[in-house]
Amino acid sequence: MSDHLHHGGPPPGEAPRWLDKPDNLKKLIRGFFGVCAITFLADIAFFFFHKHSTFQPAEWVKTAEEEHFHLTGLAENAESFFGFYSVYGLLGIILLVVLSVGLRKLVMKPEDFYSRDYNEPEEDAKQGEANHG
Amino acid sequence: MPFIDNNLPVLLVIVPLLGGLLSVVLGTIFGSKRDLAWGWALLVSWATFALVIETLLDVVASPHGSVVYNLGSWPGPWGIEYVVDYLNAFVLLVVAGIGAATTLYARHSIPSEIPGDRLHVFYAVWLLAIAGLLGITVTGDTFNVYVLLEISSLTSYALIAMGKHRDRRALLAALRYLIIGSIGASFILLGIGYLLMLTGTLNMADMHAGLVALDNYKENRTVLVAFAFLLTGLSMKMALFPLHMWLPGAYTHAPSAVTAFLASTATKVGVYMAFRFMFTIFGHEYSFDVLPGQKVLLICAASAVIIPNMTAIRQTDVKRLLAFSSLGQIGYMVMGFALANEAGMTGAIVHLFNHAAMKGGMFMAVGAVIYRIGRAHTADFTGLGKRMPWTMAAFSVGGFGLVGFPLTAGFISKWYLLQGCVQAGYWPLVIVVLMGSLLAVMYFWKLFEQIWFTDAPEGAPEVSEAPPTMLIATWSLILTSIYFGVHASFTVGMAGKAASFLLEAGQ
Amino acid sequence: MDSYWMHPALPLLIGSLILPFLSQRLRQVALVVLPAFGLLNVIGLASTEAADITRHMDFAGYVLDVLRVDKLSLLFGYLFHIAALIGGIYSFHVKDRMQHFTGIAYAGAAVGAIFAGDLLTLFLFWELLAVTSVFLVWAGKGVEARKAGGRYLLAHISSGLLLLIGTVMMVSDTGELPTFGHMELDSAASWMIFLAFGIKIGFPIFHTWIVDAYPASTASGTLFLSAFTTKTAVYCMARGFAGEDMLIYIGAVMCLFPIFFAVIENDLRRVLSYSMINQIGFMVVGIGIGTTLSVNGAVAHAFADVIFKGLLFMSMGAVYLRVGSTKGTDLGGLYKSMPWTTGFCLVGAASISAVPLFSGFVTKSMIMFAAATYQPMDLTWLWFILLFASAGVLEHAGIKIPYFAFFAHDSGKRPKEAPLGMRVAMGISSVLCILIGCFPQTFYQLLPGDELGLAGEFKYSPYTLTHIVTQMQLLFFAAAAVFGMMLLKKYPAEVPSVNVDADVLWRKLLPGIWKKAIGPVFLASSAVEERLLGWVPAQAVRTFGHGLPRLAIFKEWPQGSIVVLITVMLSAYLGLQLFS
Repeated sequence: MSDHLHHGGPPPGEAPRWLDKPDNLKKLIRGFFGVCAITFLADIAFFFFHKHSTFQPAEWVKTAEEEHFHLTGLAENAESFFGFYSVYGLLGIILLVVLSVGLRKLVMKPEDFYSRDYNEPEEDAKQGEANHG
Repeated sequence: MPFIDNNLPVLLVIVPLLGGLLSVVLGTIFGSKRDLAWGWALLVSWATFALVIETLLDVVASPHGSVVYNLGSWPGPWGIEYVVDYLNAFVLLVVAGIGAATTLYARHSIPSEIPGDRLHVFYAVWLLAIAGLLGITVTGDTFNVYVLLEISSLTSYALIAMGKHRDRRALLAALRYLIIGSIGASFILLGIGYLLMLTGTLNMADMHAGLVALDNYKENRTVLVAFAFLLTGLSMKMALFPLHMWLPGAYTHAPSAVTAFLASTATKVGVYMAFRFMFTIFGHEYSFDVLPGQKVLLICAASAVIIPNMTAIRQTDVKRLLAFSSLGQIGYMVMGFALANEAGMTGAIVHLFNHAAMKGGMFMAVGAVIYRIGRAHTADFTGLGKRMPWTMAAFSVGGFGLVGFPLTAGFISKWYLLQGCVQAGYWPLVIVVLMGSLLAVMYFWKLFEQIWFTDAPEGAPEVSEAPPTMLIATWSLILTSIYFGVHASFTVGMAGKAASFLLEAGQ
Repeated sequence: MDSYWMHPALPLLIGSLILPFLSQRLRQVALVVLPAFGLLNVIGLASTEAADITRHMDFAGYVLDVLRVDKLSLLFGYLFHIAALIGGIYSFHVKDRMQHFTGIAYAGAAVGAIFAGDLLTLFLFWELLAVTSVFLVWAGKGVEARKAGGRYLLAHISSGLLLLIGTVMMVSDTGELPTFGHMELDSAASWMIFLAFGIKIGFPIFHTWIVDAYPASTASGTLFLSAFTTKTAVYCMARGFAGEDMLIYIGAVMCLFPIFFAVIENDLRRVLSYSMINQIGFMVVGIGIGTTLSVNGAVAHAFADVIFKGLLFMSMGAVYLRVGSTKGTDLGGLYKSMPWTTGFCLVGAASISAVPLFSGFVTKSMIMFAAATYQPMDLTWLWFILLFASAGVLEHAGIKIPYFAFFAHDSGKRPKEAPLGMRVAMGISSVLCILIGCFPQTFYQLLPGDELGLAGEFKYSPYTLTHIVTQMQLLFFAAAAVFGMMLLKKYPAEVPSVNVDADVLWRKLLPGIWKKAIGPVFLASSAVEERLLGWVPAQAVRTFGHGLPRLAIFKEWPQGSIVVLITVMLSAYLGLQLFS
């Protein structure tokens, strides 16, 4: 975070909380990444249990159109790759953030971009007054 | 009473006419007393209103939907015939109803704008104006139309000119109206003259028969000239764009009660006259099929909806703003009539009524502001919602009606008008009608925001709520507009019958 | 009229009228009693035989069918009453009578629209929705709220006009009032209605009113706004245009673009507004796919979204009330003094991110599953987009909002905990989020299910091992990416700024065109009016040199020109002969 934008910090004399201690924060972060690893490895479980593909035909479709039915290969396979969801989530967010930073170059304007148009009416009302009668 | 029942159509002209004359007599005998003059006018105007309601019930009760009365018992072609059908019964209701409401309103408003010693004269002229407008509507005789038109016009000039005590510009506005109005009236007279020459009769129904009987009437140049003169003259009377320039000035500078009355009635009667002439005398086949009168009128009406509404946005005098908005509303009415299908005409006729109620109420609310503050610039409305809540609430509700918001009367008119446009297949007009609504939002919005969301500036005059008679009159019209926005079966039913009657009559 | 139950909109609409005349204490009672009574009324309606319940009303020469009861309308009926109840409790502390009055009336209008059986009735409530809700935007006070309210109103009036025209065209075609049912996009009329719904539902480019108006309102105003308008439109879309392919593409765009804006937006209430468009995108996709499962998923997600998005808006509202700002740059470390709000916010964040056991998990997955198994068309691409959007939701709503408001860098601010009413309301929402998430099959019974008459059947169970595990993988790694980038200082910092969106069209381009192009024409047209000849260019420069046309001088016409014009008109009429 760019600290120069933030002021403050805890008021003097306040007892620091559990989260304020860097050690605890570190523990928390380590714990978090640990859990990440466990979920990733959960895919191993699917070697033993069947992993249900999302791209199953629905029951009603299967019975109605069994003959013509075939799944889109890529999607089905991609989804069943080892750790697909983990990788997709990770890369997705990185892509999202990178693109957003690019977007910022395009659309970021100062805070008064719109509001600076607002200071006309009063002036006009006075002018109208003067012009009339 | 049988006497009243038998003579209803003529009584509703005679009563205000004589009442007006008696007002002067009363003033001469008892001297100028404010409440005496007003009380008399109120009595006469409400009696007239009662007579009109009676007539309306007669029309509804009669088997073929119209009541015919022969003046002096002279029958049809020779004597003067008064014919009341659904259409003019409805217009009569508007004129007499607004007349009654504005007279009630006038009690406080008029003495603040006109010197006390003129009050009797004022109310005399006022009642004459009501008589004139009712007469034009009720008569089935073209020359009688002209005579009563002159009565109503001359009294209108006088009424507007009486605004001079508040605003000297009223004199100029009245003069302008007089000049243009006289040109218009003489055009109408010329048109009637040509028709008389061709058919040898002044009675409307007979004129139509006479015209149709002419073997070459569709190519006849004299008929064309008569049509042109009448339509030009009547366009001026109803202030149809682009012959509308007399109206904003006249409405702005006239006394408040006069503006409320004229704005809700005079132009409506003009619209009524125009379409009575076009449908009943010329027949809509001639007006619309033989001549492209429909196209011209629709173009004028569409411009009337767009251009004056745009001008309205920029006005700083609220009365003038409403006057311009009225021009746009006249555009809606003319458009509906000119569509010449049942939905469109229903919309136009019902709008005669709805607009009279809404705009009458709004002009009254502005009049109340003038009564308290002395003028009605947009700037004076800043923060007025806190100081005159009832008046401003009435004004705002009326404004929602102008925009055509659902559950106000304006929506009913808009609904039928749009349907008429769609049925006729005129897509550009659909857009025009919607544009009109959006423009109305724009000019009304600015005021609404100022009234309710802006704090009054430093040093704004301390004002209190308007006097009760003004509020009662204002709210009676506004509530009428709301009532008929929700329960529109009466107005729409009447208008629908009038529309089909008019369409059949011209076949 | 055999049934003694009231029309469901009446308790709220009539009740709202008495609200302004009650004292603060009585208003608080009414805010609970009115929606609760309304809810009981709807439950009563549901238990009556559907055929027995009709209400008709005469209006403008037509007979309106103001009450149509089926499972779809009932679902939204329950939802809106629950939302009104939560909103009522949340606004206990509000002193402003106007907000209570318009809030409840607004809820009533939404309920009326839901139960409308024909298009004219729908239109009436549609306009009522617009007019009541705009007061909630204005309640935000200040120029920004006033202007945003004006723009909001313009968007909704345009939507209303489109609906009106579409209805009028249908009436003109058939001569009778069209019932509000499924429509095909095969006529100009249905296109207009589609667009009318589209503006209210927040189609891309028309979506700007959402991000514009919601952050401008008050704490409780935003809550009400977020619950009703767009969800009414979702209902209308589901009823009118289920299975319309175009909605799939539109919905996909709505899912995607807001998540980018949400990353860089500083105002957290605006982030939530973007998030709302993203969630509605899921619903629009579901409606577009148009199978029983997907449309049920869409309305179920609408239900869940009102609760969890409401919860997030409530927590941000509490912050706004106590701190006076919801800009990321002004906040941080608030968990120290607002622990309850923090906790509720986390529940909302978990729900919207579709964490198992929370409501989003059991509703959103229906839509995604329906997309994956849809056969008439290959929607694999869509499934990938939706999965990406789900990760994006976690980023902005699941992490960014709670993190920047309550944790992150300590701002040193120690605001008081939210008032009791707010905490109770947030508590109710949190419980609902968890209940829906834990007992999905009970919740699914409220859904219209097979009653919709669409292809396929309604059978779905969210809690399979694969689904839970894969969802956890997606969420944890998405979160890991966010925290990782924060630790590596690659995550974009909050900057006080405005990000332009399609609103630049409405707020800069259109006014620009008005000033530079239409304005002069406008003036010219009024010059035609004021002076027939001459001075047009000079006048144009003088009046339109800057700003909108506000010419105050009114010039009366000279008599001469009037007479000229009269002659012109007369000759025009005479000349008609030439054209005939």
